[in-house]
Amino acid sequence: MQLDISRRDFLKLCGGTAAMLGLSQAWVPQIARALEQAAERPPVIWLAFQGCSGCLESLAKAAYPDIATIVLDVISLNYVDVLMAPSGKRAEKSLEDTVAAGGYITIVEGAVATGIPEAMTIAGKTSEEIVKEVTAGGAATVCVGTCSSYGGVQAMRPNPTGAKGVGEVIGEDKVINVPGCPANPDTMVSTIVSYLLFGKAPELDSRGRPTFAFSQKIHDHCERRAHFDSGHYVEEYGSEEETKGYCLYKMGCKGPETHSPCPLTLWNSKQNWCIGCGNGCIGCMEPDFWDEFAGFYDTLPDTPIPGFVGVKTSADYVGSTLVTATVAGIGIHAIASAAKGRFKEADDAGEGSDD
Amino acid sequence: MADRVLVKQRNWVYILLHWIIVSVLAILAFTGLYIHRPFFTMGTEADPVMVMSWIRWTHFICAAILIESVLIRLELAFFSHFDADWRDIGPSRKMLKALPEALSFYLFARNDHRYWRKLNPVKSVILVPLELLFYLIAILTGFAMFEGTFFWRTTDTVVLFGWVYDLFGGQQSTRNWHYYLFWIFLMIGVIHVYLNILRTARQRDMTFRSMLSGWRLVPRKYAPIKGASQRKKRE
Repeated sequence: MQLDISRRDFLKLCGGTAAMLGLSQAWVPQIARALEQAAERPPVIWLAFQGCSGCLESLAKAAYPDIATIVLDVISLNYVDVLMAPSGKRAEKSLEDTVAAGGYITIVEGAVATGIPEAMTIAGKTSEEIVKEVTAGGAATVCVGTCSSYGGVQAMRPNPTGAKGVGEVIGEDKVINVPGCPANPDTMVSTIVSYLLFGKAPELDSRGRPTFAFSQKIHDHCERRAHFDSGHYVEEYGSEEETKGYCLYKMGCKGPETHSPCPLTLWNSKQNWCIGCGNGCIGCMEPDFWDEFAGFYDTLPDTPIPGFVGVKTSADYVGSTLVTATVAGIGIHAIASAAKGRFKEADDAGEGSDD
Repeated sequence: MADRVLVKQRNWVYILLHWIIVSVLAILAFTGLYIHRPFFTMGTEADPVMVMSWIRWTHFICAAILIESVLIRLELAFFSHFDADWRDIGPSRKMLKALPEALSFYLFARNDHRYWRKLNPVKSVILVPLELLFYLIAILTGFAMFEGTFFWRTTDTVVLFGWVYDLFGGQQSTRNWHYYLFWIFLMIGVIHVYLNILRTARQRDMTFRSMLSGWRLVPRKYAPIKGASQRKKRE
């Protein structure tokens, strides 16, 4: 395989991938071989459904290797409707040809519309038809971004288009989820390389995410963790604490709940990341984060009350109401008991006893 | 007042376990509140005190003690050679049968009910199972949120406890449930203390003191006969 990068840069890529996958540097030659031996570069079909194309944008920002290397040398991106030069029937033909040849990797970006199928159609086919057709003959299906993994923002209640993650449509065991809004380029590349290297999906957690990237929380590697541990928190934006870079826990940071390697891989060519530039994590790597974690600036966001559709309230409110009601109930019972003389020593209680 | 005798009704193990659970719950409530919303800090930036670390450490240790204590108490309730008292504190058939009578006492429909060796039917049928359920929820949600090392193994809780997140409707919901339990245990505590005040005010049978000494005034006909085994005597 002829690479547009130097041997040195290529080995750096392999080294970085080994680190990401949690493999020792002894694996670097094998990774290099896997990439080199993928002589016919693995064909990849990139399906874009209900989403913002942000994940493709994110992959385009991949620094190491850059997008040109990935698209031209590492994989053979046969179909990606956002980037590809051909359009119309010719574009669809390359999809059909790739599917017919088999052995391809399907990358899906964006959610599948199941409630209103017409909301997402390409070349007259609904997203559900396309995804079922294409993934059936593929070697592996990688869902990049929270939309294709779990439904994403368009699956937010009340979810008018019935947006679902690909796993929900074709079976959770058939997909590798690389969530994130957008998905991290390093994680995407490492997942694909891991597949090329071992010929099978990497170890996944119960959310279908590769454990090499998603087994730990943002909180575990956060640069502000020391402030969390020593009780130094930002109380409001624009305060002195904020300028000191204190922990954003009380500003609703969802780092303690979010499984992601963000603090290690960073974003935008390893420049910075959300917490690094002073905003708390919103948990974009987690299923249902759009419903579960909103409002993003509350420590423990309001939760829906079972049985009351659309009513959300804070745990503090519910809890304190319950306790107040209990105390009030006890007060009433105590008054009634006192009226009945139950606080006086019983002179003929006999066997009576109410431990 | 009917003829009563002092009886050693509570084993010291049960008394100790009761107070361990009470103090551990109190510490868990305080540390849990701090973790929920940190309300104080100590030390300076130059000379920090790891407040949150210590508070979390305390919370986890107390959680472990709570789990152990509850398990030991359950084990003893069923298998103790000295006082296997699950029929006295749990929803046994005897308790279920007597529940309407006890309930009507609390609803002022009648003015007395039978003597019970430990808990009355309202507590053993309603409060105790509920409390056990809440312990279970607290333990499951707690483990689901806990990521770290136990038994010298680093746990991947999404792999181990992902089903708990599903059960409680997501991670945030799991957190909320864990926090609700603070309020629920507060409620249970308040009800528990109130019922005991009500009882002791009426009976003057040293119930409160028995939680330290084990000795309580019992109607003579229910007092254990020397030499008879506990189980025989109750029947």
